[in-house]
Amino acid sequence: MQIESISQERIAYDALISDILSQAIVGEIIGMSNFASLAESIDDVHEKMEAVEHADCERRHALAFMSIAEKKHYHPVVNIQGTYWKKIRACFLKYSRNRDFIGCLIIQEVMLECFAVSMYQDVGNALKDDIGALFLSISREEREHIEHSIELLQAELNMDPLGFYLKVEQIHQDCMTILAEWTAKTDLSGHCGVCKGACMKGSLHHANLNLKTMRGNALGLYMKTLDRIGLPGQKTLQWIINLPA
Amino acid sequence: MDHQPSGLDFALIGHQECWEKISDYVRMLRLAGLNHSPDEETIRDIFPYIPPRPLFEIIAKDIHEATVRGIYIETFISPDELDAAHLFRNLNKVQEACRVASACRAKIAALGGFTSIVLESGNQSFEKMDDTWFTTGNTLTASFIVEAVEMACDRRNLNLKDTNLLVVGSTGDIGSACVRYFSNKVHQIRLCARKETPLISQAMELEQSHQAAVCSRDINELIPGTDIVISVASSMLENADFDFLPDHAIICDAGYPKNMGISSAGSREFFLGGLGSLSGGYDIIPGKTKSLYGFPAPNVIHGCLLEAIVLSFANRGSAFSKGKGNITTRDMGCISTLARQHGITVAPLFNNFRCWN
Repeated sequence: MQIESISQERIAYDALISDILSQAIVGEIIGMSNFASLAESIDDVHEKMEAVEHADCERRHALAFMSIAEKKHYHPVVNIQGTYWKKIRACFLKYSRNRDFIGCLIIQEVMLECFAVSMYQDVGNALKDDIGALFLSISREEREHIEHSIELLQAELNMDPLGFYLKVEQIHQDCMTILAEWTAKTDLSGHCGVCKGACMKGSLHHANLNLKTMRGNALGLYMKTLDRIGLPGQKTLQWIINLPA
Repeated sequence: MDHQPSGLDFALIGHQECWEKISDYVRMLRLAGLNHSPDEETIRDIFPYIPPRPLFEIIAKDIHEATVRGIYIETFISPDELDAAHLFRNLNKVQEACRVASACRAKIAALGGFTSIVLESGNQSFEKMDDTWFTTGNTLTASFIVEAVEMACDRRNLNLKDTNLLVVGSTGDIGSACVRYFSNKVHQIRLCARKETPLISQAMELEQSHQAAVCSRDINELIPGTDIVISVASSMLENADFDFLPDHAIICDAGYPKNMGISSAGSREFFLGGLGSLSGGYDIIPGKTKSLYGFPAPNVIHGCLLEAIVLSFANRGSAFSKGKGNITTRDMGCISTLARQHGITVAPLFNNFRCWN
C-alpha cells in the first residue's frame, strides 16, 4: 500500500518536472525567436550583434533544458504554438514589425525575463538536484538581461517621461495581461497546450512549489524593475492590481 | 503623469493593520469596466509580494500657516505576518522602504508601528541614509499616551496618586517610557511583558526608586484592582480577561496593531492612545487614498508619524528617537513642547466608534 502511494507520488512528481521543463524550453525558444526578431529591428550594429548574442544565449538555455530532460528520461512537450506562448510571440512581433526597439526590449528583457528569473529561482530552490541547479544557473544568466535593459530604459524615460510612461503602460496591458492569465489560479484562456495532461498548476505542491508564491515573486520582481527604471510606484501598483487574477 | 516626489520634508513608513482597509484601497484602484473586483483571498495572495512604495503625498500645515510636504510609504507587510516567523522577510521590507525614503530625498522619515524595529535594535546604519534621518517617533507617541491618560483620569475624576496602573508591553520602548513617566505619580505600577528577566529587573528598578510595583507575564494576574490600563504590546491580547477590571477603570490601547477590540473593554472607558491632532490640518493627495488613513476624529495622525512632521516644521534633522529604552521624561517634554509650538497636540479621546464626551 505504502509502496503504491510512493510510486504514485513519484509519477506525479515526474509529470510535474516534465511540464516545468516543457514550459522552460518553450519559453527559451520564444525568447530566442524574440531576440532574433529584435536584431532585425535594430540599426545600431553593436546592439544588433548583442541581440544575436542574446538569442544564442536563449538557444543554449533551451538546449540545456532539453539535454537534462533527455538525461533524466523526461519527454517534454515543445509546442511553441501553445495558447499563451503563441500570444506572447504575437505580441512581441507586433512591436518588432514596427521596428520598435524599445517596445521589444520592454517585453523581452523586462516582462519576460522578470518572470523567467523569478520562476527559475523558485524552481531551482525547490528542486534539490542537478535540474534545480540548472534552473538557478540560468536564472542568474537571465538576470543579466534585465540589468542590461535598465540603464537603457532609464535614459529613455529621462528623454520623454510622459511618452515613455504611456508606452510602458500600453505594453504592460498587451503583454502582462497574457502572463497574468497564464499564471492565474485557473486557466483563463483554456489549456496552455504545453502541459502534457491537466494544468500543472494543480500539481506544483509535489515539488514544494505553489502558484501564489511563484506568481507573487514574479510580479514583485517586475515591479521592482519598473521602480528601478524610474516609473512611478503608485501607478505601476495600479497596473498590477488591474491584471487578471 | 505623477512623478516620484523629490526633495521632501518628511516620509512616513508604515503598514496596515487590517484587511478591510487594504481591500477598500485595492478596489478603489481597480478600473471600471474590468471583470469583477478581486476577492479578499486574491488580494491577500498578492499584497505581501508588492515591494514598498509611496502611496500618497501628505501636505501638513501648522498654526503659523507653514507647510511641510511628505509621502506615506507602505511596506506591504501582511497584517497576518507580523509575528516572529516572518521577521526576516519583514525586516527586508522595512529596509527596502527606508531605501525608498532615502531615494525620495526625504529629510526625515518616521518608522511607524512594527517598522521601528530596525532602529530600536540599535542598528546605527538606520539612523541616517544619505540625506535622510530616521526616527522611530516613539518619544512623541509616548508623550501623547501619558497626556491622554492624564486627560482621561481628569474626566473620570480619578486621582492618579490613588490608582494602580497596568502597563502591558512594559519593557518595550514605548512601554518603558510610560513606566518611567508615571513612576512616583501613581500608587502602584503593574508590569506585564513576555520576557521574564527584563520584567523582573524593571520591577526592581521601580522598587529602588520607591515606586510600588508588581510584575507578571500573565496579564490576568494583574487585571483585578487595576484602575488604568496602558496597552502597548506588539500583538493582539488574545487571552486577557478584562471582565475582572473594576467598572471605573480606563483602558488606553496604543498598540500597533491594536491590542484589543472594544468588545473586550465591556462597559469600561476605552480609547485609542498615542495619537495626536494637527490643528493646521493636513491634505492627502490623491484625496481618494484617504480611505487608507483615517480616524473618527478630524486631523488625527499617529504620534510616531507626527514626530517626523514636528521635526520637519522645526527643521531639525536628527534621529530623535532611536534604540530601545532610551526615552527620557525630559525628551518627552521637549518634543511635546516643540509639537505644541506648531499646533500639534494630543488627540481627543476616542475609540473605534465614538469620541468621548
